[in-house]
Parts: sequence; structure tokens; C-alpha cells
Amino acid sequence: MEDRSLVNRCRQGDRDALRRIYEKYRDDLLIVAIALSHDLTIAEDAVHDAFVGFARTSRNLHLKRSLKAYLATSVANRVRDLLRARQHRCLGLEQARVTAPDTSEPSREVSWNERLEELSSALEKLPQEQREVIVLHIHGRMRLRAVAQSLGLPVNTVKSRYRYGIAKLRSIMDGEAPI
Amino acid sequence: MKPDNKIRTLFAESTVNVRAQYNDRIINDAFAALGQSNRTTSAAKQPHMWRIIMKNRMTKYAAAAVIMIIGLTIWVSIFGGPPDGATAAWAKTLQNMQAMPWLHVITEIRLAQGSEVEEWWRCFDPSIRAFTYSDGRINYANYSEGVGYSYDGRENVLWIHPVTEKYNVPGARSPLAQLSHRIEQMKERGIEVVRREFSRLEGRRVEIIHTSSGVRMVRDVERNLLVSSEGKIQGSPGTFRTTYHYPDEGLAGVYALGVPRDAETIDLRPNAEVSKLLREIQRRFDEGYGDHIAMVLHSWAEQDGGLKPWQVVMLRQQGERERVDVYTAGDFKHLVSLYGDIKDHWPDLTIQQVEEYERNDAISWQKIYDGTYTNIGNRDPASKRIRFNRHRGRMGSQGGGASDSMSVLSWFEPPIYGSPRPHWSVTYEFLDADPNHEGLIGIRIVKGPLKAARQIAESSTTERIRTDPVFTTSQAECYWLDPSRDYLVVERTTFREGKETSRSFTLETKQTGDGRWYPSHIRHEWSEITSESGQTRRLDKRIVLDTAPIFPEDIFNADFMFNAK
Repeated sequence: MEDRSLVNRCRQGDRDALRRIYEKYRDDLLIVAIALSHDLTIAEDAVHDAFVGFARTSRNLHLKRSLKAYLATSVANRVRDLLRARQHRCLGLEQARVTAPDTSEPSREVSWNERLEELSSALEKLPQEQREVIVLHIHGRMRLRAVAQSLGLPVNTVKSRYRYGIAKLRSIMDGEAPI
Repeated sequence: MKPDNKIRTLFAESTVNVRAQYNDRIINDAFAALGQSNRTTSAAKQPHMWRIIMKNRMTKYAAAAVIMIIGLTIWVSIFGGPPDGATAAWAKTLQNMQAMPWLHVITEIRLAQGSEVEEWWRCFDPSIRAFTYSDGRINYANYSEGVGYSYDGRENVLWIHPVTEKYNVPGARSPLAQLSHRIEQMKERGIEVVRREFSRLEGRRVEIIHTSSGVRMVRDVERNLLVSSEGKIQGSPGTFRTTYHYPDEGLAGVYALGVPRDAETIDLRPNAEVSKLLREIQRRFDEGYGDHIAMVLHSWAEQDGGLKPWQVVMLRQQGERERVDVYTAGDFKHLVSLYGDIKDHWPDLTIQQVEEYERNDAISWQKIYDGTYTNIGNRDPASKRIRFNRHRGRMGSQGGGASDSMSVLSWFEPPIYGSPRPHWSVTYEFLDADPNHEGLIGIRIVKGPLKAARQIAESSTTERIRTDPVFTTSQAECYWLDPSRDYLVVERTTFREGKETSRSFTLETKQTGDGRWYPSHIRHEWSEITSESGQTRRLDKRIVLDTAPIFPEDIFNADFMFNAK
């Protein structure tokens, strides 16, 4: 109920509501982004872009599912775009500006703990499409049917991606494949 | 445990730490986007492409390429030839441009969604730069006088603030320095002149230059000055047209750019007394410690007083050249670390010991400024891949208590507070004398969302919140400086929304052979304001400084990054 009220207030241009949504979901979204990308720069950008995109479109936003699921899906989409873009992006001056020391250096804007490091290291071994399903289902708390809707995929495809992904994680977690 | 249960547990136990800067950036961008969304429906449907591009970091990269092309055309057309050789002639033309009293550039960018017109003025002596944007924003900076004006036409507010082009100004510091960089870029992009023709335009003999990038430029032959350039924007269906004007009379000031006289004015400049102190800090920051090698040992301070190794940072400086090596030193399972070598001596290591232990595969981050370029290498801890970036000119420090230079550890950079953002204020004030900080000078710098701060303060029922800016704005920093020890920062406290978020103490200081003070032991504490637990983390920094270093050959050569001691 609170989320719907916050979104309604955002539609009216209420900044406090927008700030409240950000503060409420920021950590979860960053965890989703880090788990999906295992790259701090991409994670920071994905959450930034997803949230600013949410603010920009909030006027016309009519939520049919949970706000967290909506934002988590936005972040997942953005991570996917950024990972793709990185494949053929030239390093430029702008990138140099955002580069900072070690990922866990306090001077970075965002850092994560060892549990998330372990998690994202393991997930990195999975194909992106399996990673997305697992992260959205487990951390986004989305039903697999909702994940399928979000990604525009058949439910069975999403279920098999989840199953295969979990099976591979089993081998990674059990030490059969190096992390 | 089932793997999905284990994954659930890992997710549940995952945490992130977020610094105030990140929150500020997102919140401000989101507020701007929200405002844009709510202002007009048509604006939402047909956004100002250029503004959106510049607000979005990723599309900014693409935009940077576009701007680069436009920038390149300037140089191609100015120098009237392909980017090889003839540098002296190019420099001559550039000098002509610089000798002009004023340069006024008007760029129109036409995209499918509409067009944007932006104007730019530049005077080199005195150094003045001004921009007007199609959305009503106007910036005017007089670097010679150190004062800048930022006007937001949407709010009809004019901010007056300090500016500098000395620090944290990425890129080349002068047009002449830009020249060689542009030449290299043009060479890399393979841009060349494919056809030239001469004509007359408004009574002047002009050369029309066609380049392989599809850009057409017009050069005034007699004055040897660029008149215009136009063409397609690479990677976009849009086009641009830029015209260059060289008026004798320049801008009389920010009001000459169209800022209404009745605009609300917010003056963010510090008063004379604070300015004097900031200049003093700036001077010492600039001077630094000369040639040196410094070792900074980063440890996590545990509850029982123990120190858990985390990083070893080696700072080297020779003349203008700098090198920073950040080595992993923690007991990490998946990362190559110096831990095995250093654990028995931690934290009582010497520079000589660490120099023996330094190894390339344990470097997590490296920066070399070779006098021309700043080169940064960053190893991704997961993939182990190293990403390199090269940046023309000297990159500013990371600031915020980072350990990437001795000056950053000892002082702070006043200019980092000088750039206002829309709706933000910066205020400076001396702190009252405090018996717990006897003999020290305290200064508080408060940054915050101006209007939001006012609203919070006005609606608060607590007198303290209504009156104390620290409790009504989003960010504040308090510094206690020791005038008897070169104005070293002895204590630095940061606040967010009135809540203390971090604190640095200089626990011990030492002097170099020639009497300059430096911090030799710093403790940095910060609260996890973003988590419910409110944990406090403590980072301990031990610093050893040698101001008579002997450097191996090529240590400042970027060709040996991640590959040389």
C-alpha cells in the first residue's frame, strides 16, 4: 500500500516520495545490479539510470506489479544493455573520470561485503539469461511467471533457465567448478 | 544446504555501502527528471535530447564522441590540412585565435526531435568562459577573478560561486596543450581533408574544406580563422552547424547574456576571512612534499584493537610526475595479495620492505601521471581483467580522504566545494573555539539542497534544526586545522542530513627533514547510515614518508603499468 501511495505522490511531482522510494530500494537494487554484472561501475550506472528513468516516467506509470519488481526488472534491463555496450565501447575521457581506486576502496561511492562478492563471483559463471532469472526470482522476490512476463519470455523457458542455472550453481558451490 | 537456499542466504547476507556522493547524484538527477516529467506533457514526450544525453552517464559516452567530432573539425579546419606535420603552422593559427579578443561559437544541433542551440564565449586574457544552453541555463566563469555565475532560467535564480581552472579540470589546460592531443586523436580516427576549394563569403576570401568525416568547414583565408563548420553527427541522423565569431567587444558580464536583473541571487562565495584560510590550504596543497615516496598501510581496526591488513598504497612523486600503486594486502581467498609477505610485520613495515614485496599481480589499482597523461589501470577483482584509461592532463585526486596523494592525506582541496549544482548551496563558516580542539582552527562547509533545506528547517519543531545548517542540509564537512603544523587537517567530520557519517582523526604527525609536517597515523571511521544496524567501520592508515627517494628508471613510464616495479 505504501508503494502505491508513494508512486501516486511521485506522479504529482512529490520529491519526498521519490526520495523515500530511492532510500527504500536502493540497497536491493544495487545488490541486484552487482549480482548481475559483478562490475561496480556498471552496477552504479544501472541503478542510476533505472532510478532516473523511473523518475522521468513516473508521471505515466501505472504499476501492475510490485514496485520492487518493477525497479529490479529495470535494473536488470539496464545491466544487460550496459554489458552489451561495454563489449564495443571505446574507453574515453568520461570513463576515466568515473574510474576510482579498488572496488572496495572507501573513496568509491559504492562498495559491497564479502557475501555479495562470493555470490556475484559464483553468478558470473552463469550465462546472463540464467543469472537474470535467478536474481529476479530470489532477490527480486518475483514469481517465475512474473519474471517471464518482465523478460517477455515463455514461462517454461524461464523455468528451465532457473533450473539449469541452479544446477550449475550447485557445481560451483560444491567446488566442482572454480569460482 | 540446498544451493538455492545457499543462494538465498548469500543474498540475505549481502550488503552494500553507499557514499553520500552517490546518493546525491542519483537523487539530484532523479529530481531533475521528475521536474522535467511534471513540467509539461510535451516535454516528457519530446525531451531535449541534449539535456537527456548529458544527464545520462552512458549516453554521455556516445555524446562525447559526437562532441569530439565537432571538436576535431575545429582543428582540422583551423589548420587547413590533414592532421600530420605542419604543427608549427597549426600553432600559428591557434595563436591567431588566442590573440583574438573574444571567440564566440554558436552551435546548432538538429535532431529528429528538434534542435538545440548552444553558445560559447571564450576570452583567454583575462580567462573568461561562458555558455548559454537552449534550456535557459547560463554559465559565466571569470577564472582570472575566481568567480563564476550559474543561472537557471527555469527557476530564475543566479548562483555566484568561486571557480578555478587549476584543479580538477580534466583535460589539457590550454588550447596549445590541446593541440597535440587533438592531432593524435585525428590520426587515430583517420580523418583527413579530401577536397579544398576557395570562394568568397561576405566579401572575404574563404577556403572550404571537405573532410573524410563528412564535415565541411569554412576558413577565412586572410585572417586564418575558422568561420564555420557543419555536417552530420556521427552515429546519429542529426546534423550540426557551428559558426565562429571574433568580436572585438566581449561580454560585459553575466547580465549581458540575458540574465534578468530581477533574478534571485544566491552568493555562495566564502567571506574574505574564510577565503584567506582556503588560499592558505590551497597553497600548501599545491606545494605538497616535493619528490617523495610514501607508504600508506590500510588496516581494518577491529573491536579488540587488532589491525587487519587490507591495502598497501605506495605513492611516488618526482617533479610533476606521480605514481600510485594500490596493492591488495588482505587475507582474501580469491585475490592475489601481499598478505603472506607482510602479515608478520604488520603494521610496522618499512618502505624498503614493501618495495621488496611489491608484485604486479597483487596490484588492484594503479595511476601514473607521466607529465602529459594520467594513466589509470583498474583490476576487476572478479574477472581479474585490467581496464586502462588514459586521460590528457593531470587528473585531480579522488578526494574524500582517499590515499592517492600525500596532499590529499594532509589537507583538502577547496575547489571541490566550488561548483554549485542547481538548487544547491555551499556555505562556509568558522567553527566556534572548542576546548577539545585547543589551538586549532575549525571550518564548516555545508552543501545542501537549498530549497529543501529551507522547507525542512521551516517545518521543524526543533529549534536546533531550524537554526543549524548542519541539521537542515544534506551534507556538511567540518575540518579542524592545526596552524602550528602547516594547517594539517587534524580532524574531519562529515554529516548527512544532520547525522554524522564519518570522521577522520590524525592521531600522530611527523616532520620531514626540512620541517614540513605530515600525518603519520590516521584513523577513519564511518557509520553505515544506510543500514539498520548502524555499524561503524574503522580504517587505520599508517603513513611512512621519505622525501629523499631514489627512483628506478621508467617507474613513471606508463608503458610499464601493471608490469614493472
